[in-house]
Amino acid sequence: MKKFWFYGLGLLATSVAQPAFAHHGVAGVGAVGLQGPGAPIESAASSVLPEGGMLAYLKIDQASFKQYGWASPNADYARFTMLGLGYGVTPWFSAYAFVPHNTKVEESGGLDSRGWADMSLMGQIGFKYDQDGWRLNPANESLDDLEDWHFSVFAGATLPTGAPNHRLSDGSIDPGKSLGFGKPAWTLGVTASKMLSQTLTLSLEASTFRFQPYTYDSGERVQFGAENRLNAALAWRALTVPEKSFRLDPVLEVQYLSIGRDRSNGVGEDGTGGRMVYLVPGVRAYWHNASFALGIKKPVWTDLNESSTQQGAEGKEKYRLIFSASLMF
Amino acid sequence: MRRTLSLLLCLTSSASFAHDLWFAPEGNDYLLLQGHRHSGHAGADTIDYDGRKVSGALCLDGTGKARPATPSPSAPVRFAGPCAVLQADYVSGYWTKTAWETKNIPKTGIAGVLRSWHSAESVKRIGQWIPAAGKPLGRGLEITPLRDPLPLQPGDKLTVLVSDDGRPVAGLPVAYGDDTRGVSDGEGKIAIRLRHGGSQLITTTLETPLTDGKADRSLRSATLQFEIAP
Repeated sequence: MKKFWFYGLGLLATSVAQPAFAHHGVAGVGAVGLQGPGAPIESAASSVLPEGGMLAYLKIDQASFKQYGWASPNADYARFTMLGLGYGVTPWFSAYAFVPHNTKVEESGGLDSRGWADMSLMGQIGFKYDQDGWRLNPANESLDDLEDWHFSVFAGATLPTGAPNHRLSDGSIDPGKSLGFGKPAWTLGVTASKMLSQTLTLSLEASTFRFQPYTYDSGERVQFGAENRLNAALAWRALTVPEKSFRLDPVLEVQYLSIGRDRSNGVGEDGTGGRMVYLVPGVRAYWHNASFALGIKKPVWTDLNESSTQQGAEGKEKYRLIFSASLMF
Repeated sequence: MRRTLSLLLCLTSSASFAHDLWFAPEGNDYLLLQGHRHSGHAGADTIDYDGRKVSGALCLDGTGKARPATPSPSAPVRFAGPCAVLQADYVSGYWTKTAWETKNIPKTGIAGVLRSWHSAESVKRIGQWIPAAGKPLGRGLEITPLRDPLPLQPGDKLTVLVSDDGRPVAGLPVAYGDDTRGVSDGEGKIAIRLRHGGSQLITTTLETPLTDGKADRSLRSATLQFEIAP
């Protein structure tokens, strides 16, 4: 089916300009964050937005696929662009809305697909643990507070705003290239983050993304396989230029992804799903209240179902180039 | 958040060039010293200062009873102890910076003034934990530990209260040694992690406009001092 959805709900505030300095999440600024915790390239972190703070977000994920003679016309590349807005409702609860635009391009002779897909809504609750015990994220944290274990729980769902019955140029409907799931898909995840030292931050994520069955206009009833993720990232504060409000962090991320088998008309489909591990080296830069991340995501281990019959799916990428930019205001 | 950033940068830069003020126990007495003994940056261990600028001090004994502590007339100023809590003020007065020099005088009549300020510092040392040590003394800008800090070890966090005349002050940058660690919250509180044994110095600065015509700004600093096991 080659659904190849974007990994978006887990982004949260990972790309927030870290509290720049003293607010927890985002100190930010944190801003802020010239000295605060680092953040992953793609995985979720435990940072939540400051109360009343807004986040504008852009992510571009371009996947280039391995190609095989038997699969002609091969899927050539896919580009997933996501726009997002976040708002800090309280110091410990942030709300997000994302709108994705998908482009899937095949070799000459193939059928391409592009357009706006299902928007999604998500909420994240941040909490922490220190010598005083467990508590929701407070409104103000010192850099020393930011060194504590921080956690979050996030949940969200897509809304069927896209076109699940998007027809390709030959009039057909390919659920793997549709622009919506037809019904809400939901996600649930937990994160844990800890500054291991004043320059090294560990971020962990476990999350799942589940789909409902949907009957397309073609009569085919499809349920995409569930996605389960375990991610770990290390961000190292390598360069800080306080007078320029600039910070640069090399980041190394490891992602484990397990995808269930898609089901068509109640039957598991061959050549779908599997397990894989991605390595994502990259850099994250902070400049004033903006943050930019760039990483290359490559599968380094795969155990795909009927692997020799899969092309253009997760685990079959040559690489994925991931760029994100976020602005706190 | 932007305000926080600018405050932190301000304190960081000022802290980089400032000296510390602390008490050194000597028998039952205490010497008020200035210098860089506890600083992370270079500088003389102790520096000379004008003992006449030590404007006042308060001593709480082991029962919490307060008495004025009379400073000796010359530097380094000596206070008679013992004191469970000892607080003293050092007012260096007006400072005026021009393109050529910085002088310890008001800006009145000076040409080419770039910046001028009035500087006052205070230091409070907790030598013995008593209930009164966990509350502000109520004399000017002050940092107060909200629990007994003396048994703490490196790595532990200590929540302190920043107050001015006993009232909590929000949004003030607080530094541990030379390193600004954040700003006080809406209740004037902030948690600081102790990173080394021995003498601990936690500092804050409050900058406000002055309208007396002698300087543009008032800079008041307060230091909390205590010792933990090395």
